[in-house]
Amino acid sequence: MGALKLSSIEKTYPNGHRAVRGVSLEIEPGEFLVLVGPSGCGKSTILRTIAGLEQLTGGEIHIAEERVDERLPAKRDIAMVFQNYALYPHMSVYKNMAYGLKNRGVSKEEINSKVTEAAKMLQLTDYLERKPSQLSGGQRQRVAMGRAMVRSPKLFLFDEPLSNLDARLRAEMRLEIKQLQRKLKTTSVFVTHDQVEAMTLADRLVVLNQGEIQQVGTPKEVYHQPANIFVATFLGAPAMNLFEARVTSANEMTLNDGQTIQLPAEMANRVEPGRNVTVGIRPEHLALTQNGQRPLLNFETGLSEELGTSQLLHGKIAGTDCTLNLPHFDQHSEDQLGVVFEPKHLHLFDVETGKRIDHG
Amino acid sequence: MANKRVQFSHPIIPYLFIAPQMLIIAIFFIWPALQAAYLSFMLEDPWGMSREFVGLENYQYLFNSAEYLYSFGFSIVFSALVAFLSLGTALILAVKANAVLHMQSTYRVLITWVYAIAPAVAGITAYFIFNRHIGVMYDFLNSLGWQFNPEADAVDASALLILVSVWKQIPVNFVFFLAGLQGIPKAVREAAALDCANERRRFWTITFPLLAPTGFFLLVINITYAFFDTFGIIDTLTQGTPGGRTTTLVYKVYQDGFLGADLGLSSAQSVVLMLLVLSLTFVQFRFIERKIHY
Repeated sequence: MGALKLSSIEKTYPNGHRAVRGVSLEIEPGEFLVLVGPSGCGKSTILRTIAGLEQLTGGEIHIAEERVDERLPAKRDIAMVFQNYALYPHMSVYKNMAYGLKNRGVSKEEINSKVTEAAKMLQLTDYLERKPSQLSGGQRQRVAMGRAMVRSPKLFLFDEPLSNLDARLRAEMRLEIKQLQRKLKTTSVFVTHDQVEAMTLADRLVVLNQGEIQQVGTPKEVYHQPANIFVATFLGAPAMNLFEARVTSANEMTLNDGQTIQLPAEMANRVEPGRNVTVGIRPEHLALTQNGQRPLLNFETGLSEELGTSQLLHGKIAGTDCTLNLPHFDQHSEDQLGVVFEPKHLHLFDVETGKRIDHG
Repeated sequence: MANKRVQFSHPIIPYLFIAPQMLIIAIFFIWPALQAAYLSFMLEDPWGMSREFVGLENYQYLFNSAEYLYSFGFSIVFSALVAFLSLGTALILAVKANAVLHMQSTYRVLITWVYAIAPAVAGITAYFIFNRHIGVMYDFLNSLGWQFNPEADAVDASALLILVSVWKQIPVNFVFFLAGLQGIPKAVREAAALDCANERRRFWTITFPLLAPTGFFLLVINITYAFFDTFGIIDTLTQGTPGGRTTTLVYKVYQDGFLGADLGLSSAQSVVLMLLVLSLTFVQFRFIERKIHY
């Protein structure tokens, strides 16, 4: 019983560009799914094919068990919130919200009650007679939300709806969208390139790259068990540190410059000696040695950045660029520092495929 | 707002800057207009040897002349039809051309290049096409059973003038409408596609209102065109024939002033025409523009 089901959908543009390469997904009713990826990864294209604004070149789309990919956009029972709001500039806020209902032959009284209710929920009651040009960015965004809400569709589609807002308003609207979605329980697909939005909004996250799904999972899963190097470096700022290494014994790896790292206990004996691997560790999982602690790795100190809540210390480990995210700010004048970490925070990836080498 | 004003150290400088423009307006517009107003109260002999003040006699004569009143009515009907038909056709063409995916620029060029033809040339071309002796269309229309004869039939002559005038004006309207259509944000059209399944309804509720500013601008331009710029077409095609039935106000000014050498009467007509266009433009800006959102 999926609310939305994509069955190996394909989109190839007439110029030969394959924007979406066989993407399959199933979304549960009421779920908030976020599609995230760098620009050009096909996330917007997927959303637009669900909306019917782009034609599929392969595969099928089902909404609530009904095939919709051959229907007109207006006949798919979906509503979409656009990046630049896409309000009708010549219509008042009320008419903007009523337009979709009116075209579906809903009675005047029902339109009125639905629009009034939505306006109340979005604090737009005082602005119903205004034109979009007389509203602020946040208010326009709310009108766009209201226009989607009043139709009570089976599916909400959000195409980077917060990227035109300034940072403070974005955080505010992010929370508002989440609360609203929880209240309405409408299945939603949200597209963004902003990983903070992706992590905070999603029930489930879909990470995309070059038209293919890299990983699907809860934000926690995706962050802590990235399926491959792409996911590992895409999510998290600053990005995960990666080092080339060679497994030298049952429980040890050697970096380029001869420094050795213990394999995590559960990985011991699982990776055959002689194999080349990429080792990843997040900047916040690295710490400096304190009062005589034995360093696990040597760190060549570079520049530091003060973030207020923490400090980013850039430098090199074994000749590879590396960043530390330290909890408090200290001046470091030493050329070399000792670094420690817990082995369980190490991620291992296959050098050739980039895939995670899992515990199992 | 106050900061937007540029302050010049010397108060004369701004006047010097606009002086060339003012000079042109004064020489080519204000001076002839005053001259026309002055002459409209005069009776002058055809050789310009003497003139005599006659008060409103020229105007009285005009508004008692059936011929003048006819050309007044003809001008209004003619202009309304030319403006309406050329705007309507251009809008349809622009909407269709905008929806074309392949070779869109080819369509655009094909529809636009009529613009490069001078009105007089358009008139002469049409003259050949609809000519009684050599015209292709003349034979074709008559073979269909329509006794088409613009030299004798006022309706046929008017239809011919309207056809050529509309044809000549479509490119301008087309280019502006197409630009207007492409100015409508893609996302707005997509939002409408999600809100309304009926394409025609979407056109009238979203596209058309958003094109209104362009449409209004074109309406002003088209009425001015139909009043003044169709002179060349009339002069090459019908010269007001048959029997003055295709004489517009502008053509009559020319006929009475330059062919009839009655400068006083012709000047009076110019003054009336000026007032008419002035009031038309005023009405357009006052009442139609107010209904345009944006």
